[in-house]
Amino acid sequence: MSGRSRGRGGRGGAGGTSLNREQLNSIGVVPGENLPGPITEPPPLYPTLNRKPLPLRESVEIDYLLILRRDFIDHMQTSGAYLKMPEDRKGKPQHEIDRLLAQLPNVKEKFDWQLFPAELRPKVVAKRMKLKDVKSSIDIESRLKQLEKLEEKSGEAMDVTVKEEAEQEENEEQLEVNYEDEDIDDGTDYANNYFDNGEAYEDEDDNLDDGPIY
Amino acid sequence: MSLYQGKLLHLILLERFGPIVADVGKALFEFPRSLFHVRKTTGFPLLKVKESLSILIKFNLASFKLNHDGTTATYRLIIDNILLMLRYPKFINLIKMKMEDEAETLVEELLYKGCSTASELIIKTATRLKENKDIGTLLKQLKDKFASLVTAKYFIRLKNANTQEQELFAVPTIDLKQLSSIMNGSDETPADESIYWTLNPDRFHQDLRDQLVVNAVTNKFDENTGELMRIFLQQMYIRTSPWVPVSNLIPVLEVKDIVKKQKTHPQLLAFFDQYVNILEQDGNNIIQKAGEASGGSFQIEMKKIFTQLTWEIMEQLVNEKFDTKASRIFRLVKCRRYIEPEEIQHLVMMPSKEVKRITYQLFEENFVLLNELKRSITNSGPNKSFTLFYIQLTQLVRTTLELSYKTLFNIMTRRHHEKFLNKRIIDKKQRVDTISMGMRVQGASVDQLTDIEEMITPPEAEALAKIGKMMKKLNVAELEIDDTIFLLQMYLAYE
Repeated sequence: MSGRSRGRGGRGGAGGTSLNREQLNSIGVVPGENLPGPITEPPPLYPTLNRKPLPLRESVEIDYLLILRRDFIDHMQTSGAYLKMPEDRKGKPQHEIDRLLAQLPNVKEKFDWQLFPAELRPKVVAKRMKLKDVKSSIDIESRLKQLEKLEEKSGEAMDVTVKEEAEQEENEEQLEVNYEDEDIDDGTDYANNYFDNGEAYEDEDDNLDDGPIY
Repeated sequence: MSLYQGKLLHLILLERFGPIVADVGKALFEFPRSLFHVRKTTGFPLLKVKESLSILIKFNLASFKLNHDGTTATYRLIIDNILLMLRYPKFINLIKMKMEDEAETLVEELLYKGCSTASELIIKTATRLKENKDIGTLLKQLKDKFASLVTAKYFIRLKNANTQEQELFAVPTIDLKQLSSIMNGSDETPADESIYWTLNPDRFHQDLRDQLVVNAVTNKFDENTGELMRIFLQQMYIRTSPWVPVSNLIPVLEVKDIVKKQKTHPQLLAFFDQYVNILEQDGNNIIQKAGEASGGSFQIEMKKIFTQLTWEIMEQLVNEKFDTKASRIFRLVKCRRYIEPEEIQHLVMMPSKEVKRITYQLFEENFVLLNELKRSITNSGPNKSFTLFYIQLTQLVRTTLELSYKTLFNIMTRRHHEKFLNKRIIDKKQRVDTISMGMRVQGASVDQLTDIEEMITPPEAEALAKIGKMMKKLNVAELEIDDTIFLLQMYLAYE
């Protein structure tokens, strides 16, 4: 405990009472004073309040806010946005409120599916939208072709650089292939030395300086 | 992002959207997930998960990021917007005070929907308000109100990939003839079909912030000073963007002219210079003189105001939690910034044992922090190190926010529990109410009605009254805690 807090700035973390003796001394806890021993039982679930909280404000405005709040929640609970659990066929709702709620028509919330990711769409909508997409995609392709033609005229210089990059990448790939070949050429496993004399054990610099192993 | 925040969000969603959405929200709170991941964690049928994700997105409580394939996505919860739902009543009330009832209903309907097109919103509101009113004029009124809400930036256009900055607050074209024909049952698609609107919480917060400052000034001084502050803030917007920490200069003559024109506060006009002086010379740095030209001009330092208010709240908190003596020590540490334990004992003039006990208490609950300054190895002289108490406001604010979330969670849990315990009696009341409603519609006599009402026995009525009172108390507490959260969030926003 003391080792941790001696380093820097006394109280390092969130741990409430990890002060060493020196620090306790300096904030005025004298060794002779009988400190309470360690507490071995959990705190009570409902600790008694030392003070009574102040009464809440009452005003017309707050009453109105309460009405607004209740209206909002009531509306949400009867709207289509309130998703209910899939119904149990066996058990009838026991309470009147539940029965009344069950009578309400099951409204579905309306969505504009353009705004949502495709995976969320219900199947019917998804099919319809796909049909639309196919129709419109023809237009896109012709447009793309037009753009390509334009690019060919203006962007030949660009093409050269792109090609060069592509070639470089190919070269690198070839190199990697060569490395892999080396391992295979060695033939059987016996040629490799797997003996470990233990020197490298717990060596932090291990593998860092040598670069990656192929 | 904390344990209690997560639990609180779950309860908020549970109350408004039901158990499925709440659980999906909880899964997303842990970290952003994909659709199938959510399904796996929650164990709900795929259809329900899809629906609840759509609902969360529609109400702007979750966002999504499309993956490379363009169909699947990763979903993320927008925590702030969920907490905002607790503040909705205040938003609606604000609009009611500033504008007419029609605007209030518009805002309310938009909140019910999450996001909506202008036409849809106006039709919805019109069907709600149409009782004994001419539909044509009502629609026109609503259209104007909607336009003014957009121009005042209370509503903002829902952003999608190709929305431009200037389009965000551009009023859409609304065809009134079309709207009325749709209301009469024709099946047309309105002109602004895919332009969606949603609430702009920043604008509401700006108003709530101003209200808070004016209220603070009114409470500290009087009505007239509050009015002066209100005019100052109103004039601030002419030259300053709303969220800068220090405003540009506001000429005092301009303010005086407005007071003259208003004629509502004769006393303020008569003692105008004195009132300005009071406001300026108060220790809280509410306004500051920045120039002498043309009778003087002032700056409003929002950041300082909120720092001051936050300190005030913290002192209150210590006062209520640990009593006066503790708040005395807390204030002492605050004004000395760094102070040694012995010095506290000397300065607060209390028995040293008590001082120690209170300081340790404050330290234990993280209201004050401890800093130890050690001298490195010294060869000569006594090896003295300093131990200093100090307060870090930002950290304290975050702790308090956490505490507020926890309290909110406790209050809501309690409410659910009470509802659950008393379900039978509430249920009975409900049944009696429905029956008497039905009988009233059929035209039953007064005697019959009283017979029905008497089905609830006096002890039951008493119990119901008790429950109602408790619910009210819990609900009010919820609203009040949200006030505190708002102030603390404002402080963090300026920090």
